[in-house]
Amino acid sequence: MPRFVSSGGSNTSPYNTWATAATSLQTALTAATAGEVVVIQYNGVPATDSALAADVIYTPAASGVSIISASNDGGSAYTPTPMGTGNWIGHASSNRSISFAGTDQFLYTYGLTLRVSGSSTDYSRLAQASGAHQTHEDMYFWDSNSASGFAVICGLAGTFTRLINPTFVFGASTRYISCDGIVEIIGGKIHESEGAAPNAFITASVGRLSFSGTDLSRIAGTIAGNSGNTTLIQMERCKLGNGVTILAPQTSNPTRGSPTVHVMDCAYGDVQGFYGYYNALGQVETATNIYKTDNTTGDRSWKITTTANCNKLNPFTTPPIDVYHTGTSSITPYLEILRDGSSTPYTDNEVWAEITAKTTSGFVTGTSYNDRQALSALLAGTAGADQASGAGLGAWTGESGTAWSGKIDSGAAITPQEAGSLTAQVCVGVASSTVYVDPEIRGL
Amino acid sequence: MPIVSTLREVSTNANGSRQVVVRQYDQDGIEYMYSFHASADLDLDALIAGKTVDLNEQLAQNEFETLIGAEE
Repeated sequence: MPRFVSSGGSNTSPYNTWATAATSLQTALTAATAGEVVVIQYNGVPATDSALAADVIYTPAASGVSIISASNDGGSAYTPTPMGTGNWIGHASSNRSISFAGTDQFLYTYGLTLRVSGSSTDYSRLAQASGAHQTHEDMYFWDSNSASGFAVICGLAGTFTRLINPTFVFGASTRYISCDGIVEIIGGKIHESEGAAPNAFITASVGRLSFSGTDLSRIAGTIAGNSGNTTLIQMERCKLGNGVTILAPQTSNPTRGSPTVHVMDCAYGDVQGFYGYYNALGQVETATNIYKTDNTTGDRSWKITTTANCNKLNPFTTPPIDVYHTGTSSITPYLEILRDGSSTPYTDNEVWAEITAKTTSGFVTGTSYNDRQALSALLAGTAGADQASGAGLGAWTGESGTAWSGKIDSGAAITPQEAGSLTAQVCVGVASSTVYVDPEIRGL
Repeated sequence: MPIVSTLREVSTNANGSRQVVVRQYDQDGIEYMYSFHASADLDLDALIAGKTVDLNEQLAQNEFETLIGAEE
């Protein structure tokens, strides 16, 4: 049965009508049994919850409880209705921390507005208990706190948080979100005009964070800020800000232990199909100014740009290019590459390929092959050998008058034994460099 | 250490938008690289100036944290 929460209720257990509604959200959460719905009147939030006297941690007594913001339709009838900006949980002027906990519990909420104000550090926090699995739909994070730091904290280690169509308003440009555990954000936006645009949207996170269809166009600074923590961020079909930097220079932890960001089909404006991958050692992005003329990828290449942090033993490595391969003949898979602005070939300890294929009959195991300089020579500091020449500059479009065309491959012929994925990754062990790659595995 | 020099590489896409790679150096010669995409009409100088301010603040914070760690 539903448990009601309203400033107009008589606070009479079991709180199952608007007339007998509880006058605090926690009272109803304590009474609700597994799977029950707690309905809070969107325009009748009790003062206990809308003018918090202190920080609050809302904890259901049972798993599977839902908290629904709704209209009071009389009796025990209600219609789900978001609180919007006319009503809230939190405080209009003072700093209060608002948390949702529940160890090993499922929790669903709809239409809540969390309002955090003041100038001393405080924030909204979701899934703040080990094993919590929380889904919050149409949640409005109304942050008007001016202290630098967290505005919203999603999750802890061992938790799952899903935000569906959230709205973020930030009290200051120095406030940001932090995510631990697994966090999925579906749709939603950073408010286009309310509050401040964060300088760095995601900071100090540990875990896995994904965005699908989120409007992040308010951000003109950085999506993922500098962090000493390991975070995997995936973004797909999101609207970005004009001039936004995806990943800040990683100065606290200039290794792969810092954030990694995948960007799939995200852009500012009408740019379709953009792909990007970023970490402390470098990045790869779709480029349309230089590409191999006979490409089958829509007149685009992969532009790899390395930072000062990569080296020959710890190269920047791209995500895999994948093809479904069924042949069992001997092949030497390769990728065409281009060095623009210099006619000096890249050597086999600067740029090389790692090819993985199913070359063991009767098993699914992928075995790796590469054309990197032999380890003993690499460790001895022996000069690398030039990589093979490629299809030639005439086979590329857009390169400058000075360039080098090459190819990188599996190092030797291989014979796939089973049908399945054949992948290629490009490794770049020279710092502060640029390599263009035609992202199509050839020689099959 | 604050940023003392900046290099930028600008690639122009078919629709006029630009992909920009920025390499900035502090007075010890340490390089910091980042990139962004900008519309054809966006003022790159102003944008990079703003990002330089952000990076300088980040580097100052790193120095502070290093000092605190040393003291502990």
